[in-house]
Amino acid sequence: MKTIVLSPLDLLVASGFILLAGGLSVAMRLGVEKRLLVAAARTVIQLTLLGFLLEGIFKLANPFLVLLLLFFMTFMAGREAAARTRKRYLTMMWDTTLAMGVSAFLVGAVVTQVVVGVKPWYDPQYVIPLLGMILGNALNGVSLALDAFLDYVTTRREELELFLAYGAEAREALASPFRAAVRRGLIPIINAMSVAGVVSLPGMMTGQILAGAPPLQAVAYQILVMFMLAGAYALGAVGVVWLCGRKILGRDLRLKLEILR
Amino acid sequence: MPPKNPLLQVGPLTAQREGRYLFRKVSFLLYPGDFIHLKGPSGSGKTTLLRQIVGLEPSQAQRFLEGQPYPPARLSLFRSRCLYLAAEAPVLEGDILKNLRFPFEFKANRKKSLKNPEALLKELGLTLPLSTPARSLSTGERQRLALARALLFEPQVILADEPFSALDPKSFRKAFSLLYDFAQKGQRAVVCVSHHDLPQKTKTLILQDGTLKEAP
Repeated sequence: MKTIVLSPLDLLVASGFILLAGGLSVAMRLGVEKRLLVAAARTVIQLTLLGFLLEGIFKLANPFLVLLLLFFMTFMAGREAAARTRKRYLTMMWDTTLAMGVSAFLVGAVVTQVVVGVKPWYDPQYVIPLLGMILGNALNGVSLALDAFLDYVTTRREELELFLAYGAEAREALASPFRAAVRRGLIPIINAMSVAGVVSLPGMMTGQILAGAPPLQAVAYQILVMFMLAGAYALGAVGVVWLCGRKILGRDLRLKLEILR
Repeated sequence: MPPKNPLLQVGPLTAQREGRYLFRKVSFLLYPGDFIHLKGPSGSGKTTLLRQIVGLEPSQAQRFLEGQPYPPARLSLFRSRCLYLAAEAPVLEGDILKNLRFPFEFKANRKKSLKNPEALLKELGLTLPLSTPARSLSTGERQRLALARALLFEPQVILADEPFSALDPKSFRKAFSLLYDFAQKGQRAVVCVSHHDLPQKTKTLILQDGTLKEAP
């Protein structure tokens, strides 16, 4: 395999693009230059830290450390998903974290243990990037589905209360918002799968090819990843609206919009 | 005449708004054949009271219908017998038929069925075909559709919140007499919140200053 190693100087040159984007923002008075710089700085700091952390964890190859990192990633993903919706309730972060955790660990377990057959089971070189990819995507599905769900129940409150007044149970009253929300949550992955290889060269595949892997092997991995992500999107979206549905319309069959802020 | 057993018994009902009691420990009783005109100044809590009875607002109330208790686990069944007709007269996307038929798809109502909707709609002056999109109806037509839905659903109690507010005098007379007649058939009763003067009623209750009183 041939790879060209990137030096810090190369990255310095690349940061010129950030300055270009920032300059455009100033010139066109977009007002995003500060956020752009902060985001760029976060990318550098977070990824550098992660690089060191991964080097350390790869060297130690300790199952507990791997699991600890996976839990930490799940928690951060749950927090991020909860921050992205327009409406919130107090314990929402737990629901997003739980939905994400269940979906990512389930899909991740099948992929790493059954499909790829990672040995030992916690081999960080496979487990961490795969789960990271699942979480990053499930995060999208979870926050979109939750946002659509909360939007539905607030804007169509009269309709839901009409169902309840006519004796609907929670499942019956929430059927339409569930459907709308899960559908919304699945759109990104459906779009991604539809254009994969035609419009976009998926990121992971690009990375593998750049790193010198044979294209067909990269394609096989990419297909696996797409299917895995579709599963994670679906489980995450269904999970989070189910958890949220229990909060918003509990056993007392009353729409509790007052918990939303 | 021996006293009749109450049809509906709900209480205690208490509601607060901004730290002030709207009403406190009210118990609500209905007898078969009752047609009650519920009055009270705007903001006195009439809607909240009706919504608490059916559990759309939080309350600690116990519910009895024909002497049978309806604990929270049987709330859907209670609502299928004691119907709250919302003032907003909400309609679903889809045609008139869908708007009349959806309640019968719920588990709590599987023993009921939709009977002869055209005749009732005609009596209410809604002669549009059942395939008309309900969202295209005017406010007054929506209100009559919502009333038709409630009557066709055949609950035992209808708690109607401003069911006539958008009706012209002619539609009002028809709608009112249908609702009034409904209360007279068997084990049934109606509560009607209205700022109109109602031509007939068996009792008038006034919700004011936190209590529910019978008008003299």
